[in-house]
Order: sequence, then structure tokens, then C-alpha cells
Amino acid sequence: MQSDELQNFDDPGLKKACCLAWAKECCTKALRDRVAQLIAEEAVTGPIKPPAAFWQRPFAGVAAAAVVLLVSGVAIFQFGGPGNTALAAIDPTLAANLVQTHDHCCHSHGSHQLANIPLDDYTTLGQRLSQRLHQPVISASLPESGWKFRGGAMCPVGGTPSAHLIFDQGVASVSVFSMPRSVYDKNTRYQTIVNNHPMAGFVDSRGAFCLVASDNSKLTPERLAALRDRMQASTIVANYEPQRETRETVAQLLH
Amino acid sequence: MSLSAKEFEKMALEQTDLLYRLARRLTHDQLRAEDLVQETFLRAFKARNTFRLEEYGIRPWLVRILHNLHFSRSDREKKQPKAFEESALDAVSPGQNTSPIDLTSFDAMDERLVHALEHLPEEYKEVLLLWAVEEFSYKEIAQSLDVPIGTVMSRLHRARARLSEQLKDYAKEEGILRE
Repeated sequence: MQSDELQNFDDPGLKKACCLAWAKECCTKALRDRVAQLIAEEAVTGPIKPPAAFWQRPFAGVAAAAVVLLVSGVAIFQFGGPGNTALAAIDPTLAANLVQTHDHCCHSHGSHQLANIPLDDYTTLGQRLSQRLHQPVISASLPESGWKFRGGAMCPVGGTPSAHLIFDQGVASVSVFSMPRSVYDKNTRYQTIVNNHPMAGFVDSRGAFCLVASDNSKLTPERLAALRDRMQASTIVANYEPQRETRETVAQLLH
Repeated sequence: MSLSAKEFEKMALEQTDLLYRLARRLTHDQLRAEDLVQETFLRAFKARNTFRLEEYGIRPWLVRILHNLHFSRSDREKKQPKAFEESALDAVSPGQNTSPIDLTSFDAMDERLVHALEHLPEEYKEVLLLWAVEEFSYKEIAQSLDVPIGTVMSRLHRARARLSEQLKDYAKEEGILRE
């Protein structure tokens, strides 16, 4: 079998059925804590050492020199280009669309909150946005002091309906986007600068999520990535027409 | 490229949900799944000096540890003498699996589709989960499970056929499929 044939196989019905059944399943916080504790305890006792220390092996000097050269090369490649802080790929068109929606909404002075939802009720807001988007959304406060929540609404990103939260600090703003998985075709985590806007996000089986900061904010892509990591656990999933969804999936699977 | 303990810990812990989902498919039991995940992390952390950050990152490496651990445990358990009641349960066909399914994670899902998927053989569920939910490539799945790529493909096709067969009644009842 040719590798091209392997890449071309696709079965959206089967994929959707599996995602509906399994993708939302997460481990409990208790398990996460136990694993973290186990690893911390293991770190104290230390890992099993390899049979021989590196410096005791033949040609260690040559290997070390090669490693230094390799690391230098990678460092120059990664950080050498002016303004290039991208650590992983993101589609340039998607990135440009995110910046455009961020700028447009942040510069608008009207309300950015869904009707009849109090500003401090992130849970209800998340549920409403999730119902509309038919997927999990991030709905939580920005985990850094000084940022005031302006509101959350459905906004188009390059024509794709997306959940969009805005936080302000003086004249600077941060957007938190939750978009359908279909906007980007592979899982990724990235932090970068696009048109002077720091950006950090991730794409996984639940959807595509991105934080975008204004060009006048003092946030770096690294700080934004840290906020992304902390907000990642704040996804809210709402129930939506389960029977219809299942019927459509089964129909797709059987035809 | 070798990683520091901290870097390794961070990368590994990001995969906790993936490992838990896989462990649930293999063990059919929350407690056993949690136990398997913990043991996987412990083994992975102990062996972290042997891990090299290669083309596909840490995911296939962790999945392989979990997979091997589960199947070596299963083999050991099969060799243990069984009480009569437990042996009798082996006679139950796969379609009659009586283990309860935790539906709390499946709010947006019809129970019957979940059951149909859960009643597939472990080997099929494993490949389906990695392919559909975790978005592994065929090569990553083959590497994780130590099987040829052709086997990955055939398991996907057979899983699909088995699932379609199991969902036919549901489809007829719902008027999705005509008699």
C-alpha cells in the first residue's frame, strides 16, 4: 500500500461518532493531582541511571562538540530571524483573520456581551456560546490582575462564527477566541506575533482556541502563552440537541 | 534531544487526558483505568532518560508504555486461576457486555452509540480513539502499538464494519435506515 493512499483515507462519519462518544472524556482532578504527586516524589528519588555516564563513553568529546553545534544551529534557526517568535505553525490566513476580528471588535464601542447575561457570570455565558457554536468554548476571567472583562459574544473570524471574549486594561485589549476545529486541520500549540499582535493558542480535538493581544499591550507571546495554558482548563461544554447530533452521525456512518 | 526533568514532566502531564481516555477503552473500569494511567506515568518518568524527542514527540512513547503495561497485566491475569463465577462470565458474548458505562461524560450523546463503540474489541477501540479523537497519523499509531501500518488500516475498516452492523437496528428504529 502506498503512503499516499494511507494519507487519503478519510471517514468523517466514523471520526465524528468516536469524537461524540469519547472526545469530551477527561480524567478527574484527583487523578491529575495524584499523578503530579507521584512524579514529584519520583523526581526526588531520581530516575534510573543509564548504564554508563556520557563522559565515560568513547568519542564523548566529539559527540559533545556535535551537540553544541547542533544546538547553536537550532537556536539560530529558531530565534535568528527578526520578529520571528513562532514556535509552531499556525495558518497565516487564520492568524490574519483573528487579528482583524480582534481589532474590529476592540475598537468598537458598543456592547460586546450576549443579552441578559451578567458580566460576572462566565458559566452562563460559556453555556450560551457553547450551545450556539456546538462545541466547547473558553469562558473564564483572564488569570492576570488588572484586566477588566468587557464581554463575550459570537463574532465571525474570516466568516466562521466564533466565541469571542474581550478583556481591557487601559487602552490595551486581549481577545479569547473559541473556534470550530475545522478552521485548522491539525493539532498544534503556538505562540507568535502577527502584525505586531502577540498571539498564543492551541488546536485540539475539541476546537481551535486563541488569545490575541493588542499591538499596544505590554504582553509578550510568552506571557500570553502562560495565560493560554492557565485558561485551557476553563472550557465549558453545553448540551445541545443530542438526538439530532447522534442521528446525523449515524446516518453519515451508515451511508 | 534529551529533556530536563521539568520539561519532561510538563510534556508528559499534558497527555493525561489522552492516556485516561485510552485506559478507559482498554479496562472498561474507571478505577483500573486510573491505576493504569498512574503506573504508566511512573514507568515513563523512571525511564525518562531513554526518551528522545523525535519526530512524533512524546505521545506515541507514552501510549506504547500504557499499551504494553495493559496487555502484560491482562496476560498475567489470564494465567491466574479464576473463580467459577468469573470463568462463567467469559462465556458472555462481546455484544452482551454488562459493565456499566459512565455516561456523565457523554451528556451530548445518545447512549446507544456509546454502547456500540464501547462493545468493539479493545484492539479496534484503541486504534479508533488514537485515529479519530487524538488525531494520530497511521504511522504514529503503528509506532505506538508496535503493529504494521496495514494492520492499523485493517483494524479501522473492521471497526467501521462492526460498528455499522451494531447500529443497524438503531438506524431502523429511528427511521435513518429503511428495512
